[in-house]
Amino acid sequence: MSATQTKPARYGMAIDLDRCTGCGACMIGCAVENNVPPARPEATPRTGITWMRVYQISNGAPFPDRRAAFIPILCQQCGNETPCAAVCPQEAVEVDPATGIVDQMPQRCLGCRYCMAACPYHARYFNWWDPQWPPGMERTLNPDVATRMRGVVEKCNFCHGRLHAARTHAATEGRRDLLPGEYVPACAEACPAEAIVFGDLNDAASEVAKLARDGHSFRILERLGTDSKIYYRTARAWVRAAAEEPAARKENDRG
Amino acid sequence: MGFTRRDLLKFTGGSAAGLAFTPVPWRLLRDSALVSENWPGVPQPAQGEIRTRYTTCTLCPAACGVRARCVGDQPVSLAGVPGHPASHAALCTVGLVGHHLPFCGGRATRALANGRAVAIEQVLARVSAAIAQCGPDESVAILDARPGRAASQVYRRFLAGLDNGIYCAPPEAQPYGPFGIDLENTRAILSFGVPVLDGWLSPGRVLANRSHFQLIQVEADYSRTASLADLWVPVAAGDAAFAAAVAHALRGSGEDAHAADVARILGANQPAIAIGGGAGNLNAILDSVGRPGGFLRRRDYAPATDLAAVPDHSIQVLLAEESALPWSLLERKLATRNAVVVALTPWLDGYARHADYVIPAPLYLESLDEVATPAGSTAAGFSLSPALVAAPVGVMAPADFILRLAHDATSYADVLKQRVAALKKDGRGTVFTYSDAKSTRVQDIASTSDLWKTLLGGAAWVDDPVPQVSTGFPIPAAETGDPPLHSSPLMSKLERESGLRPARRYAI
Amino acid sequence: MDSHLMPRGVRRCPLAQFLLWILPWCALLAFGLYGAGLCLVKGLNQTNMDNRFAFGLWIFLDLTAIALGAGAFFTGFLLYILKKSELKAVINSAVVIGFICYSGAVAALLVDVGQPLRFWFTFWHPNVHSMLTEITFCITCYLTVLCIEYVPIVLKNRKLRQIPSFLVFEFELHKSMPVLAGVGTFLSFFHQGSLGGLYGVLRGRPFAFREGFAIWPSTFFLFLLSAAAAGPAFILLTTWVVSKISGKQLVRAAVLPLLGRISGVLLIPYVLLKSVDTLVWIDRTAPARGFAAHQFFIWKPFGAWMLFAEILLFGLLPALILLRRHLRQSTGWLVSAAVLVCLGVTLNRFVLTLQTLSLPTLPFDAFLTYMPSWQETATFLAVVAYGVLIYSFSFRYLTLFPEEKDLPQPVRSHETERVVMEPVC
Repeated sequence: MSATQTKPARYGMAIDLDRCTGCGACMIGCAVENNVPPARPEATPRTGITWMRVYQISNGAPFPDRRAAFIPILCQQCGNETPCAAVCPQEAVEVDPATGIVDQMPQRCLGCRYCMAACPYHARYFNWWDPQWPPGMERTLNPDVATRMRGVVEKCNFCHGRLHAARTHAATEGRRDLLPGEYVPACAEACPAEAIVFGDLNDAASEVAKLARDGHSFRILERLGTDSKIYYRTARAWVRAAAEEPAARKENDRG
Repeated sequence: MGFTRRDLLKFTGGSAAGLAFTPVPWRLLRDSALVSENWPGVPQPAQGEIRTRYTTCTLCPAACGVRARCVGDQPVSLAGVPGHPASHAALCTVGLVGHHLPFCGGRATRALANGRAVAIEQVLARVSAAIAQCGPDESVAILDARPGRAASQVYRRFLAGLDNGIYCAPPEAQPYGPFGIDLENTRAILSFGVPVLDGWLSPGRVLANRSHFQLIQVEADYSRTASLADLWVPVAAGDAAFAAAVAHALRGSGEDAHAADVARILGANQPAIAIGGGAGNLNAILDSVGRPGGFLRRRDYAPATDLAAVPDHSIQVLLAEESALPWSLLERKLATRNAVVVALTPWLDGYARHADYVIPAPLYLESLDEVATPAGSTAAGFSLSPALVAAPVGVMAPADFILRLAHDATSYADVLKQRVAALKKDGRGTVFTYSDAKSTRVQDIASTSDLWKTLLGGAAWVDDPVPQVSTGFPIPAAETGDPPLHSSPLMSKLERESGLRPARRYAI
Repeated sequence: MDSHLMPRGVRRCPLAQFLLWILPWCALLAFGLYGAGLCLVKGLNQTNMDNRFAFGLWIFLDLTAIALGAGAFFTGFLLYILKKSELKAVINSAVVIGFICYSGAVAALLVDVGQPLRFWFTFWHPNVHSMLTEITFCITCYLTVLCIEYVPIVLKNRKLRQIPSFLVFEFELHKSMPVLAGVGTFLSFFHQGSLGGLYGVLRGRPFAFREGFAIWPSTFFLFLLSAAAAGPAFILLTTWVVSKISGKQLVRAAVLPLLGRISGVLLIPYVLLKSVDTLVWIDRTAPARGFAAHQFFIWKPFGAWMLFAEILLFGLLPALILLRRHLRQSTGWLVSAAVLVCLGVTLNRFVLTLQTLSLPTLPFDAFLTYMPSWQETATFLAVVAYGVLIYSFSFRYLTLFPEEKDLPQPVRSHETERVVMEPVC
């Protein structure tokens, strides 16, 4: 890195839970961008691959006062002693100091799944089958993202291919820095409610940095100390209570 | 001494030990990594020139603008068009994977007569004959999935040339008749079963305005919209008694607690509108017609016959597009003997399973198509939906089929050009181009061919607003009778007509 | 018929009876290999593991097998380093059991990983921060040590030792046994501990996470201690079982109680440290990370009873039994206590692998269950069958119990074959 290198970025997100309607457009946009294979017929929600996954919570009130909220969960890009990076025996997980992005290398992954046990956000997904597309659909694969093979772990990498494309584009224009909005992951672009704001948390003037600082924003499982880069926002107290920290649970709350 | 077994063992052992000191085993080991990294059977993406092309989504009446990222000519991802007047920058979950639809299996690729492949000419001949044989009480109906298009004019002209032609359309396609909704200024929506947050108008437009209005959802089910509404009234959407109670409460009387809550919210958040079949005369009480934040009239509306109004067993020949309504509704209207049903559909499921003849239609993105006014828009609209991929051989656009049936030598593409020419001649409205998000007045566009080229490159024509008159209520959306398969109308339609099924919702 | 392959001075059952014994195990092995083969060919979707239960039956059994196989290193340590010569009676058997446990675990691991062809990546791109890297290196080295320790036992076979170069090789090897034992102890110390560290470092799993000393969580030391305690108990158990099946006296009367006492002596500090560790975890570690400890135990059937069972019923109780001399002399009490110890270690590994994964971490998650598929169970049974077969052949043709030939044996009618004495050339 040269002396004129711009200061490192910390890419992160602010997701507004009051805008999210649980439509799943972020899940779909992510799957299309990242060549995620369609689920096999025998796949279950616990074996399917969804780098971005929307969960539903409720205020627990009885009918008819029951209300729902939806929480998109993706890789939180943990900054402090990244749990998955620390445990991978092959160093197939790399934390990029220039962007803060936690990158997964499926080509090096042995498939031991230790990182999946380590991740408290369950943001990592394993290829239990060989990826397979219906005949002809492989023509719609994104050339900027490598397909994976069976037996390896994959996860959100903030659409790293788009970062590369943005940097290349900036370079052709002689710029070293990216303009705001030049690099946006697929989920943020797809959200019809514009609930996902993406940007550089290190840039104090950016919208995401401002949103992350305000009182409505919180991180999930903050006390685990993972220094997640995904901030969730809500004005509703019950949503924050249900999403932020583990609370007293009921025994029949089984999956 | 000859070569003994011991010598063999020593030689083998020595070779094995020596081999470890050569690069051979290490190279082989490294090469095994190449095998595992190029795992056989996993497809690699095709490389090619990256292009951006524009079109408009035809899957539902929202008519969202589409920006397609293409490798060569093949779209690999779809996204919304920033600044689009109807859809903002958004696409819905189905719109985002529209380019996958051709690979979903269950396509109708040949013209079928009673399940057997025939030439389209044969179908034309037989359907013409059936129409010619219709008696005075036997009607010919066309069910237009997307009314308001230039293709719809083709259907109407064809039917006008017959004695007993009926032009039908599903009420959901133009739910408010000649009115659009001024969502940008609405402050409260009382919805009777309408999936406001799950497939109403364009998601981009609704959600961009969500923080401006209070949402009251009246429906019996805990749908997605109900779970996110500001107030959920768990009463059946068609419950006339409740609508009456709300009317009373708005006038200051009545004892129903729910209705009182509703009236309070509507009173505090004006302007307010009521939507859905159960709305009754509430919009009159709310005075929401012809006012900002309410229902605004637009030009270019021609009513269709509601299928429910057609007498049972009176349709002798039915030409139905896609699977616009549940089959059970159509079945009732068909003549008991020798009714002829022609399904103009891309899918083998849906109507094709019940039809006598199937004409394979192109799918979204496969051929030049159009969209009419986006649902809920307060100004008339028009967009072309240019093709981005090649259609399978043998498909025929429904409008082309009807033109052939009418012995009209014009093609559908020509019809579209005529429509664009008419727009240029009228000189009204603006054209929003997707590629640069700029709006140009039609008058400032030099010629019809320029307008055509602009629309073909991805653009939306938006009419000028018309003066409003504060009379009359919007025609409420009729109940279809069958409970919807999903709260999202688009998902219901896709499930009806194709083999696609949405995944079940799980706890984890 | 094969009596010339058997060790001198001992009697073994007729060949036909032996074949009858191994036949079902061969069948089980074949069936298990089929299950494992399905997993290798079709992929891990053949198992019931999923993205929430990334580890399942195999990892749990690997950890248990390695803990129980710790008898190999610990007995070697006691014999060669601490000079407890009574354990010469069981060291060979312990080495074979260790070999079986470790080689079986490694075989199961090769099926468990998604891309077995990439097994060598850990050696090529090691991650110094990862417990699993440490385990991979140590287990590979230790398996090599076990193979080297197994070789002299094999070479001492009556037929093989007639080859002079083997005899010399075996003799030289035997001289370096103490060194090998030392290396084995050193390696075992680390991988037994690292297996505990595997879960103790998981900051994202407050149920398993423990604070500790420097980079090692407390589970590192607890696993090591529990393995050292369980090893002798497992050797005791297996010796007794083999003795019962074969109908022979294999060791002097003093050996098994000695093993029991060693187990008991190690269990006491283990129970103490485990109790302290649990209290620290309940009071400080888990709450500091936002999880009240009692929340972990509300899910049936994994209630708080499991914690008490692990520490008291399977920890303190067998320790107290094994420390009382007159109870140690009674085979019933001795074997029962050994069973309890082994079950305790098994339960401990279960809690830290499977129970950890079933508990929710996200606030809006649910408690999950997992049941292995038949392919997973078959693979496990293949390892068991493999172990029984290796042990059976070793018991029949090798000297696993050097004291056997000096002990009075009950006479069995079918074993009236005379063992022919052959002169040593």
